[in-house]
Amino acid sequence: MAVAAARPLRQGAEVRGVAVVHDGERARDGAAAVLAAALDLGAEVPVELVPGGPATAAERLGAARPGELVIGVEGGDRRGGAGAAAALLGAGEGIRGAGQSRAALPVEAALAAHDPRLVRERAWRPLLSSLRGGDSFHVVGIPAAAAAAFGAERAAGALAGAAGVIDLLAAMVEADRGGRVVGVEGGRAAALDLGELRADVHRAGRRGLVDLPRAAAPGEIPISLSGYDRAFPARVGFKAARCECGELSLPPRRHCLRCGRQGATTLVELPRRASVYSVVTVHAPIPGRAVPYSLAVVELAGVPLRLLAPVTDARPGTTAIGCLGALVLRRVADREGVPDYGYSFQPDEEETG
Amino acid sequence: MRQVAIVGAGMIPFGEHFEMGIKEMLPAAVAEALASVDKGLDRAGIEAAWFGELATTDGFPAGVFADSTGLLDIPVTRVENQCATGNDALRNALFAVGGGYYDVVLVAGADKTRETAPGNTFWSWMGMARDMAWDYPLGLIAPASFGLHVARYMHETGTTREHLALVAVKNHANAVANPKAHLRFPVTVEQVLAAPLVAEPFGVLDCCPQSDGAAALILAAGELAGRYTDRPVWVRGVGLGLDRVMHQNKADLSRFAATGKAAAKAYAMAGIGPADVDVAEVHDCFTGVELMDYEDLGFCGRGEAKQLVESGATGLRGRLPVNPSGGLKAKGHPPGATGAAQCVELFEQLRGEAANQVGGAHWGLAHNVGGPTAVSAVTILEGSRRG
Repeated sequence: MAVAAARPLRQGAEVRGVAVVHDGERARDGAAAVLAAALDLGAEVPVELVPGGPATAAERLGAARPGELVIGVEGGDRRGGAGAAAALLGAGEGIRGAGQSRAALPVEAALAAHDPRLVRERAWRPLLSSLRGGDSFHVVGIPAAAAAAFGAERAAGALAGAAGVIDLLAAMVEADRGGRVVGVEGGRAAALDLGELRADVHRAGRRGLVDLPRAAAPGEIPISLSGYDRAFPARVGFKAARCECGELSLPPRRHCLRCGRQGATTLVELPRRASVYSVVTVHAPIPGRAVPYSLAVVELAGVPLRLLAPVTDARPGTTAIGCLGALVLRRVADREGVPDYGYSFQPDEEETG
Repeated sequence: MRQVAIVGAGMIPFGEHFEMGIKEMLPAAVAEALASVDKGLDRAGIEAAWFGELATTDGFPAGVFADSTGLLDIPVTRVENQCATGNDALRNALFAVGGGYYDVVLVAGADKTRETAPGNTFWSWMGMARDMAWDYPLGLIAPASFGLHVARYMHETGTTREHLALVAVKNHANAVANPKAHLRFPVTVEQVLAAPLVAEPFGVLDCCPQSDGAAALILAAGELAGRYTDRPVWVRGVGLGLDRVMHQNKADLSRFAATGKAAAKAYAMAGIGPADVDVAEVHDCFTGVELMDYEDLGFCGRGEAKQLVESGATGLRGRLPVNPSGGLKAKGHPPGATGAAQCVELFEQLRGEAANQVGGAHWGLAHNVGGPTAVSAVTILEGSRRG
């Protein structure tokens, strides 16, 4: 999702650094490399994974420099809403940090004890009164009804985490208006002011889905780290090998089957539109996998290549031969603790049942 | 090349042999094969052996074979070619005897799929047949691997799940009378269609069981066959074919390209065509695969497999009985043993002594396709009752 949100901003733009504010799930070192490869960033571009929510996102945005890409990701565990949004900061003073504040109350504990009134009066009220600024402000991270009670304007989307802050910025940019945004997470809040924005903002989300598959039965999926590493640039960057003679191969071959050259290949980006050539849906319980799941062999648009890809964002079993869709980066498996990323087939909305 | 005959063949019943390891199953199958030699054969007369096993249950396969059968003083070569293993072991032994290097050799195959728990089997056996970085983590289990082919085949030919179910009905019915079969119970089309789904388009009853088993064949040079039997079965044709290992790189999923290549070689070597075959044991790990085999082996034209099975032509009393043993579907499928066991069945068929005897069978064909649907072996045998 982070990649889907950030890719449109990446096209042709210079990115000097990336900060990914995420809600804590899967904060592993491999994720930075996956993101860099999928966005085609050089190894010298820093990618920082920052656990946190709306306040952290607001802080990072307020402190971001031109050329910095800030991505918010939330709900990767699919418990609530899930989504991602990205902002690429341009030159100028479009976004300014407007301070942060802290409450003494341990909010998570109070919420767990079913005492929302205590939280409202002893945490959110003091936080917002110190950070609300002028007449018009938005809040991300607390329930909409509570925000309205404090005089905040309604936020546009359903996202309530780090992505929610950037998602809100996107809505404000679209409406061509400025204002203050306050991000609240636990007993902490941070504010930023949106002026004449010189930032590109883009949103991406999972579709409001889909029956959750049954949880995965316990079990490890073995991995060869050497094989993972070798396949990484092509799998995560979504690239094929093109030989000097023009022959394409996927997975990349060093030895060209058409002209016989050795190692005369370069990696080239693949088209991300595809149609289903064949598809099967697995129902049997598989250790380490949530079932049912569909696997498709898809034909990539405009090139003589196919790819075996899991079907994502659609109810398993509803995707048929001939169905059209896009290839999107997903975590396809967990293998001995290593998150394994690759491209999945996302059927177009009108194709799903 | 010299003529080569099968003069003995035996197998243990396929099933869940928790009480037997590979070391117990192997000598039992070899003893059966030796006992089937009409005029007798002392095991000291065996000059070399080829042993097919996919897995490495209890370790080093050739060593386990030599050690457990007591054949310590002859060369033993382990063959591993996925589901084509058994028939490929036979093929290699054929060349050694046909080339004049040995007169009497042993071909054996065995596997214990139930040495792992059914769930874990998916990952452990997939590891032998998948690209570890690209395909393995996606969960392309065997029924899904074959399912991608059959789904495309059904789409292109108008074949339905009901047609697939007819294969299960036929092969289960055949297995009832076969004392060596793993699943000896009949099923109906309704039961097959109502069974829990494994990987669409396959339900549980579209799938072969996970079996343990072992089988063995004794090959002799043609001019010496008369020492052992007056009813040898002749190995007339063998073929092995391969295909791309990843599904995304196969040209046409509605066919098994490997089967076409293996069959062409075997038919040419035997000097016969598909119309000459009287009885066939083909790869039916999943029901729809048998229908595709009919076309890949030339038993019918494009899209006609559904009519072939519907008409009963491949039933026991049809014009070309297929899988009279019950097939992989109901006899069972311990991969290393499967091809050898197909030849055990054909050995009995072509000598007129099978449990489900096909009247007047003279030419028999055995076929496997497997691994990532990227290898196939075909063997053609001829009886000695005619001319």
